[in-house]
Amino acid sequence: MVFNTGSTLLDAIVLAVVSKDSEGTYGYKITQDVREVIELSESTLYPVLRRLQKDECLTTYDRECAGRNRRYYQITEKGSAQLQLYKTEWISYSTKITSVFEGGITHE
Amino acid sequence: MSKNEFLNQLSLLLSDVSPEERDEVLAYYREYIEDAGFENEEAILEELGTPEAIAAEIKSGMLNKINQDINYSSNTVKHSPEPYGSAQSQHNEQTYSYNYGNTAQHPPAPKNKQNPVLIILAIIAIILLSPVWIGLLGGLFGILVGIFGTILGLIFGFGVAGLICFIVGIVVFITGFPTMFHNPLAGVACLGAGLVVTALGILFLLFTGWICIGLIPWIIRSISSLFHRTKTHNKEAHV
Repeated sequence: MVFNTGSTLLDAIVLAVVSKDSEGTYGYKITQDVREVIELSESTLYPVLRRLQKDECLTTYDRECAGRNRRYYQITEKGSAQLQLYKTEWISYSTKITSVFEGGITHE
Repeated sequence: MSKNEFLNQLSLLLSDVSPEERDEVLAYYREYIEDAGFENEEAILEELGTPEAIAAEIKSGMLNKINQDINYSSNTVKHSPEPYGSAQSQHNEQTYSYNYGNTAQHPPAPKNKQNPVLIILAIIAIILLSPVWIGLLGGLFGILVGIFGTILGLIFGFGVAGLICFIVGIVVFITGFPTMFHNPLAGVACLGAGLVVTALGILFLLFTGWICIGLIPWIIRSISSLFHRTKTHNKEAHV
C-alpha cells in the first residue's frame, strides 16, 4: 500500500465497519475488520474509536462475555449521517481520481 | 513481557493523564489482548508495539484533540458538503502511523506545525488594535499630505500674490494719470507706488516661476537620485 489513509478516511472506514453490526462490535474485531482493507498497526484504532465516541458518532455499552467484560461499539444516528456524508463524498472523490487516471480531466 | 507487565507499564506511562481516560485506555487494551486469545498473547503484545509508543500516541492524540474537535464538530453538525475542504485540512493532514512495509521509502508527511489557534489570536489582535495602527497610519499620511500641501500652498500663495501685486500696480499706475490733473502730487505718488507694486509683483511671479521650473524638478531629481544611489548601494552591498 503506497497511499496514506488520512484520518477522515480512517473515520469513514471505522464507521462503516461498526455500522455493519446492528448489535454493535468490539475493539479487537473492529481492528481485524479494518486491517482486512488497509494496513494499520493494532494500536492505531484506540484513539480513533475514543474520538468518534466523544464526537457522539459511536456509543458504547458493556456486556459480560465468557466471564469478563467486553465493550461494544454501536453507530449512532449522528454517526450514520456522518458515514452517509463520507460515502457520498468518497464516490465523487474516487470518481474524479479515476477519471483523471483513465482519460485526463474532461471539462463539462 | 506479559499482559500484566504491559498494562502496568502503560498505566505508569499514562500517570499524567486523567484517571478516567487512563482507565478507558487500560480497559481497552486489556480487553483487546484477551480477545486476541491466550495463545496469541505473545504475538499480539509484539504487534501492539511498546507501551511507550502507545502512550505517546494517546497523549499526542489528546493534544491534537482541540483542533480535531473543532473541525470535526463543525463538519458533523453542519454536514458540510466538503469534508475535504479547508476546514478539515488540519484534520486530514494528520496521518496515522501505519506499519507500511516500505515506510523508509514513504515517510509520513511532516505535520504542519502552524497552530490555527495562534493565527486566529493574531487576527483578533490585529482587529482589536486597529484603532491604534489605523490611527498611526492615518497620522503619518496626514503629516505627509500636510507637508506637501504646505509647500504647494506657499508656491501658490507667492504666485497669486505676485499676480495681484502686478495687476494692482498697473491699476494704481493708470489711475495716477487722471489724478495728476487735479492733484499732481498724489498723481505722481500713485504712479510711483504703482510702479513699485508692479515691480514687486513681477519679482514674486519670477520667484514662483523659478520655483516651479527650477526648484521642483531639482527636488524631484535629487530625491530620485537619492533612491537610485541607495538602490545601487544596496546592490553593491549584496554583491
